[in-house]
Amino acid sequence: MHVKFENPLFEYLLRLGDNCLILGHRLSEWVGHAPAIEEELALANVALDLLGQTQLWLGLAAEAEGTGRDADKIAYLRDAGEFRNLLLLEQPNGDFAFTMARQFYFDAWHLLALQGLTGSTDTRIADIAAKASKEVAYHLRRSSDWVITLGDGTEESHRRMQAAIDDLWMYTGEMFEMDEVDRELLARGLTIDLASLREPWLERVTATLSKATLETPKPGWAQRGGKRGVHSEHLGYLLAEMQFLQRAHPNATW
Amino acid sequence: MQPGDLITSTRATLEQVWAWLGEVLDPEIPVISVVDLGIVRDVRWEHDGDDVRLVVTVTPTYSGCAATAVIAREIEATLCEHGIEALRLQTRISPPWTTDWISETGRRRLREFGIAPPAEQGASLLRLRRLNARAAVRQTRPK
Repeated sequence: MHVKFENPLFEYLLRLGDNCLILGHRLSEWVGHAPAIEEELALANVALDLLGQTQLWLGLAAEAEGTGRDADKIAYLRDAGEFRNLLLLEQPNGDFAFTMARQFYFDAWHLLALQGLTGSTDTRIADIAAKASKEVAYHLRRSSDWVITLGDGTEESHRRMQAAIDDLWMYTGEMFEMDEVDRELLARGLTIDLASLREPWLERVTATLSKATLETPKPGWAQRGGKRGVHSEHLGYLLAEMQFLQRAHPNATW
Repeated sequence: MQPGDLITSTRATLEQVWAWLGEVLDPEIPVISVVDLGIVRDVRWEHDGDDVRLVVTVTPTYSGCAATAVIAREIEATLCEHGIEALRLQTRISPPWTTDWISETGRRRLREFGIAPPAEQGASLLRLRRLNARAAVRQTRPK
């Protein structure tokens, strides 16, 4: 698919914001269903952090776009094809192991990406990245702990965590892909070389999986398309729930 | 502006404003003020032609902090009660908030409220360094 990107900065900020928005929404779906009250609070708190980061990134995206749309309009009034999140993050929650494996893969990447972005020549990007990376450091500690607890747990929890780690593996390759948007902004000193994150990410993931007595999947074919707006059918259902109120009652506030 | 100018006597001092802000409590832990929590980063007067405005800079504890809007409203309401008519509230996220910015009073209040105050990073490092120094002294002391 050929898409012309007239405003690469806007595109890039959408990617950062949509990652947080979509994963944050997925986590919020656990509220009322989590295995324990502490876990429910923790999941909701991570969701809230991600929603806060969404506001910052999409707020900056709105400025970069400069058409008068604000962060709320960008979040609630775009359709699936205009979303730029990674495919990994729109995958349905599955069981608790699946949710934690998805979180772990993303957190490990997210922290590296944000730490890199703190060196952006755009101080607004650097400031948001610095704020967010403090929060994401906690997210990664938490999801790593769960991968280890479940992996090195009972036979059943081990089986489920290994299955989740295997099933989600094909969605991780997209995190390190560089397209023309990434390349242009990198050349301007605004962003980072995503391909260079692959090695430290793999190192971190392998170390944790090995502590968890889990096998690291072998490199293989990667699903891609999310950051260019080509999504799985899951995203449409997610948006139907997330955007319902604004679609049914435009401009409603509370 | 020269000392003794009439206007200086009608405008609140920044110390006074900080004291007023000390009355604004965190809505989630209503024993600690926004000042003791360390989220008020700056207070200053801003001149815009003949207009003078108070500018209060606030930082969120966490970027998704749900209390941010409530805190902003309460700061506005408190300062308004004290006669501040022109106010601009601005958010600053850099440098990011850290629990090290909670004041001594804040820490005591948290403890009294039943919340263990977070360890001060500088302090705990200092303590570690002292312990290490003591251990080193013990090892090198002649038997």
